[in-house]
Amino acid sequence: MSTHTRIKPSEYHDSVTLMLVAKALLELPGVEDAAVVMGTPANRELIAAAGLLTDAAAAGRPDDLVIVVRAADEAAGQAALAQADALLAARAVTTTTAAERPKSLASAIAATPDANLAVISVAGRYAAQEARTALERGLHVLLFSDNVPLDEEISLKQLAAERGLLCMGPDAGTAIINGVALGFANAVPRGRVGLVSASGTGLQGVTCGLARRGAGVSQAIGTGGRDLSEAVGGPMMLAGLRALQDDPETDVIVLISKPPAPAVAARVLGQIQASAKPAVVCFLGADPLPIEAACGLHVANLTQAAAAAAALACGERPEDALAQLEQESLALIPLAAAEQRKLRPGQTALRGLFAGGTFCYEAQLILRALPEPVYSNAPLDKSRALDSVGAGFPRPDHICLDLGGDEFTQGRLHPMMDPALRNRRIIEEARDPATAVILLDIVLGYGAHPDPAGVAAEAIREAQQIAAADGRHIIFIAAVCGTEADPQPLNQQEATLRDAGVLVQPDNAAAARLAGLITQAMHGEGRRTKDEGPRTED
Amino acid sequence: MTGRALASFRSVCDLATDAGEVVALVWGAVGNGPLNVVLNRGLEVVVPAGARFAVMGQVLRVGEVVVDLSRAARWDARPDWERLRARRGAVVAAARAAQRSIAGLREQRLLKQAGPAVAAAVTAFQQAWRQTPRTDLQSAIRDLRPATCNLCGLGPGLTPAGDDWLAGWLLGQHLGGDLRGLVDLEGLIIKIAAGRTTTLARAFLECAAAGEADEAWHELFDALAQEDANQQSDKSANQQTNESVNQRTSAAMARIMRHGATSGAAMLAGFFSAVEMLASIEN
Repeated sequence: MSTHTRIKPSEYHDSVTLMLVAKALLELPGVEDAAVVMGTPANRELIAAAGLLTDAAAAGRPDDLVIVVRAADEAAGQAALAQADALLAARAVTTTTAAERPKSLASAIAATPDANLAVISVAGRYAAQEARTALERGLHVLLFSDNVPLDEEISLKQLAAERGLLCMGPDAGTAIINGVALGFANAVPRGRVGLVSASGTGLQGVTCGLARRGAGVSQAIGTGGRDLSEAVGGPMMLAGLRALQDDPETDVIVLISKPPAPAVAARVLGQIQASAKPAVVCFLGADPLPIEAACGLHVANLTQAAAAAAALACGERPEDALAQLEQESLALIPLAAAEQRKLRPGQTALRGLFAGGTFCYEAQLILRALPEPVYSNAPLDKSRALDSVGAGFPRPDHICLDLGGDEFTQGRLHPMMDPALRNRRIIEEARDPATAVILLDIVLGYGAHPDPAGVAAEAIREAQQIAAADGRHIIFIAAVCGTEADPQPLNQQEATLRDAGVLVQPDNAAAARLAGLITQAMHGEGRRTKDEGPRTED
Repeated sequence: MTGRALASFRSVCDLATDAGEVVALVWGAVGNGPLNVVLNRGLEVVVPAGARFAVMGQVLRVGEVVVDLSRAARWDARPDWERLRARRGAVVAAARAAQRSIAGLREQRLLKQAGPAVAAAVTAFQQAWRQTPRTDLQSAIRDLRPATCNLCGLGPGLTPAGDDWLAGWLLGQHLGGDLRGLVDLEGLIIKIAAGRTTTLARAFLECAAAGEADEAWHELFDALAQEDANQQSDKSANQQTNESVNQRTSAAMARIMRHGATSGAAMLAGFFSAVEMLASIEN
């Protein structure tokens, strides 16, 4: 282990630049710790506390930029310092030469007078004001921002309805309008399936599932997670649904959400009945009866939604597509049995580490089939909330974490953009001798990390080394949400994971089901409390 | 007068004289500020860090850039503190309402983003401030010194977040006026900053200690004072005005938060912390 220092006298960069460079250094191979700060006494004390204060760093002055790297060896340390130089130089060029961008909505509209949609991503308090301005100027809105007050959301959506416009969001992370991907979206082909979704990753999951099956998207409309609450009343789900029912380019409609408030669900289902266009309804965890009574096609998860909609778009029977999925899931049983033999007695825990909130939710729905409860920071019901496990009680065996939750993203980028937090969790879970299965989602597309599988694979290899040193093996299961046309091609990403020994499944539902089958078998064997065959029930 | 360029950004070129004074050439949306020379258009070339500059007569030259200062108008960087203090109770109430309106947003997350050390140092400073006796200023100054030393120069960036927070806190103290021993405290912070932070951060702290602030802060103070005035008048008659004033407050806070990568947000956090302390003193 060696510590390397670079002092750059009188070099100034903004704080975000320095934090990003430090983070980039930490992700380099062989780098254990790094600091990139101005050489003020307070910062020198900070790096001293981290064990990084070299003689050169200690001699730094407040106006000096101090870079310190602790690395496995000399080569890794020098490479990191060179990388820091390059990154800082690149940031400086970006800062000083980037093309002038509009500074306000008004100047953006002036620069692009033909635009008919505004994407708004500013702090929630200001987002509502910007969205209102955009709607008043006759623009549809994709409101990416969260933390918009509920009353503001209601008011904005009323205004949009009065003007015949869409107000997608707040907290709408994904949309595809006229073939243009907005927010976190994937490069999917155009086609005859239109979607309205209260879930960003749900929309990504289904649009990618359609692409896998050769079907394309006419429009994909995000509503924001609160749209179907009783307070908001589902105005954008209804507006999007009506727009797709009227759209001659759309033959099949898919609706995606967690279970809506009952009164809102009734309105949405009533609107489905008002049109002859087939509608696939994926209200995750909802009662199928009212949906079927409204002539909607109820599906239990995102994969089924994609399969059923693709079948309808191709003039095939959706029932056959769903039956085919069931058939395919049977192949997981022998695979689970084979994998389970690689585990040691006592390895009984399933740990799901998700970047996508809806993937976490969907996995929990599938894992309800397990005899043991699955806990989460974003649970299906409050009794399974992680913080409901009292101090002094053992950690639950089965945990699914939504790493995009507020408690994990305070002051951080979302895990779809920055996988560092999940990588650390992977290593932590590997140190737990009870861990049997680690379940992951890898989300590709615009806005996502340029190589999410690559960075996950590094952590997975390290985790397996930790487990192997203890005579254990950990089963990694992942599903990749993406397409070949994404900036991170799907096949390459999947191959990277397979090379790291990951069991790559075609979708999140299959991945969760396989994880459940293996875990259930280990519980049956390890604890001798159950003697049941593996179940594949949703 | 001669000096060198410290750093160039999208709309700012920071210069430091050989005597250690900071001047910022700014353009675009940045606007007036205690250190700013506002240009009517952006520089056409990037001034590299370290480039020498000279001011001869009314002309500033840095590399190929020539700035004619002869037609520059002087701008008063001090908000109307007397007017604000005269309405202090109500302005503090309006500021607290403004803070609540953005609770949990960027200005608070900033401190977490800057790292746990900054958040811990801020907490230590706040605790030290609350515990200091209000009658014995010398003891107060002595007790606050360690917490101030911890905060000054702490955090990444050309103006460390700890200094930004302190600058905002100092502006809040100006609103407090004679409630505490402001002059002594200003002196303490400036003395500590002289050896513990960057040239640029020290310059910002000196401005804040002198009660000087950027144009965006003037807008915020005006908006807060106006909210106070509106609250005193007939609500039904002024409903429309109240709405626009709320938007002015929001717009001013948004403009402050656009200052630097994180500096404006950290200053707001410091200001709101001072406002909370003022409220507790007055109560």
